[in-house]
Amino acid sequence: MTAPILAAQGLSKCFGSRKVIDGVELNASRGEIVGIVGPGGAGKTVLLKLLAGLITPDEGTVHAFGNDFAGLDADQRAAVWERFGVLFQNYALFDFMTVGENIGFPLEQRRRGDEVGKGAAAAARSAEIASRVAVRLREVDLPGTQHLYPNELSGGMKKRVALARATIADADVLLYDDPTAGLDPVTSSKIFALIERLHPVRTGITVVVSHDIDRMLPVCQRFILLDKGRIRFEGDRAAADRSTDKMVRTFFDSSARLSGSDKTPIGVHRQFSSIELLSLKGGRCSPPSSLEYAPSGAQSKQGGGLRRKLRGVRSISILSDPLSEPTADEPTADEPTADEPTAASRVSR
Amino acid sequence: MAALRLFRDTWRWTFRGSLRRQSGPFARQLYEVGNRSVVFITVTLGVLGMISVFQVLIQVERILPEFSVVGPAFIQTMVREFAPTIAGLMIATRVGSGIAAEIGSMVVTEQVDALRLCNADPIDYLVVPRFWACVIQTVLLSVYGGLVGVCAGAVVAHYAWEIPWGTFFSLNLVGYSDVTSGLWKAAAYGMAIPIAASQAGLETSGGSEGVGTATTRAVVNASFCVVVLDFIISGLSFMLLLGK
Repeated sequence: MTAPILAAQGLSKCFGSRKVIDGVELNASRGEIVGIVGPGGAGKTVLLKLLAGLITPDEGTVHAFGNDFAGLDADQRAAVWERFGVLFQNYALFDFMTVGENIGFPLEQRRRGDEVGKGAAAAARSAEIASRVAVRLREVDLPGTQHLYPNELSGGMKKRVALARATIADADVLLYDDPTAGLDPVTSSKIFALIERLHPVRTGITVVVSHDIDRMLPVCQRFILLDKGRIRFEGDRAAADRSTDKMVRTFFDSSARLSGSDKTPIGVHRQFSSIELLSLKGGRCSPPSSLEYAPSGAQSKQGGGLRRKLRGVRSISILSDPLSEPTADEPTADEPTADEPTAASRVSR
Repeated sequence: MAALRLFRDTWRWTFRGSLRRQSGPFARQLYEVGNRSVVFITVTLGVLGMISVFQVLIQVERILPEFSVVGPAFIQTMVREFAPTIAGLMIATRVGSGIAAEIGSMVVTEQVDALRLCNADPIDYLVVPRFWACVIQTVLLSVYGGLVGVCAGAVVAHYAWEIPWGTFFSLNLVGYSDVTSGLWKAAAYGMAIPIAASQAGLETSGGSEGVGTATTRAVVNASFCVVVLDFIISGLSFMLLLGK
């Protein structure tokens, strides 16, 4: 077993009287992609910032490449941060820079550190940076957008620009905070494919915080489930499936169903399970007066449509057996029926 | 204490060549702080000059109908006190709030964290250009505001009380110490305003509510700094310059 690149011991962090992170231990070794999941407010973003050394823990230590963040002076910390690439939850694109300047900024900063100076060498370096920026922009499907400012971009475009900036300097530690939040399924899949491709297999680690478990499953080798600031589960997918902890099982299974998949059709029983989860989550999705029958063989798009219909639901009663297999008589996604479905399901406010 | 540390670090980054590196943002801040405050300062000090001269002339007329010293006394007060302090207060509200809101928004949207991770110090990138732009433009705007105020006052004096232009514009009472005191005040306000505002911005926490709180704190702190510095510099200049 190689020495961990990133190691956190006994991490705790309070904001006011609220303990957001409580005794978290985490090691990530070379080549690993670690997924951090958990319900909203579990402390995932705070943990990521603690791992990046952006927040000082109240208790515990974070070691990056064997260096304890707490014991580093500004220059040493800067040297460690040069090996980090972070995609922030809110994009964190600099408003006063263009897309090209944003993406090239980490490289520009390194150039300043190297003191290339002016003249031909500097011009060559600038050209190299511009070329790398152009390549990375093509990779995130945003070619030719160098001259735009962040306020001219959509949310998805900003996310991709932020991803390009996080990865352009070939960092050894890549930390992604909710890289697909608010993105459409196609872009989300592309983002995760890019995360997998840009992962520094031989030199570093990748840590992904996301709710998109469906897309995390094939990419991450290890998962950490945070709950109220504590690690509730740590292990691979198989271990999650074996877990007897109801929350772990429900979280992994239900989340995968909820988010849908571009590849796997979602059957009626899956749709009902999704509905159950939505109601368990306290009605973040929401109520029509009656629920249409969930179609068999529905694809993820139908799943999204169903979720939209459920916006505002406070409670849902499933009258049929939610885990029963769909029958051939049940209506299909392409043939929604308004009359039949109420026999199988009722939605109450 | 945090503001004093920020002030110290700002000077340290300045000596490390921050302005040379940040020439673009510095030029942009010069425009933001200076050019975009011109109308505000013109109207404020112009109106203040007219009202002040009007009120003074009413009182003088009642007591002693001798107007020859009104102009020189008004110019002296404007140079020593009104121009830098009113301009400073105006800049504290307009520019101070802007700086705090801008930096505060960058804090809550994690841009400041991103700067740090890219090995760019937020003081180097955000504070130094604003600090020097504010120092330079507060001095220039104070001089400009003083001229506007005096001219506006002269118009009232000439057309309402028929005081000759030459009598009003006499510089008999304006000495070296008045000019020095006024310039020192303007420079001091120019340093205090961006430091108070940047500190409030960098300490922002939470979301948009935090930005609002930071903006309010920046305006209050910057205005308070202007008033306190006015008192201190006035006292010092009286003891060191006028007292001799």
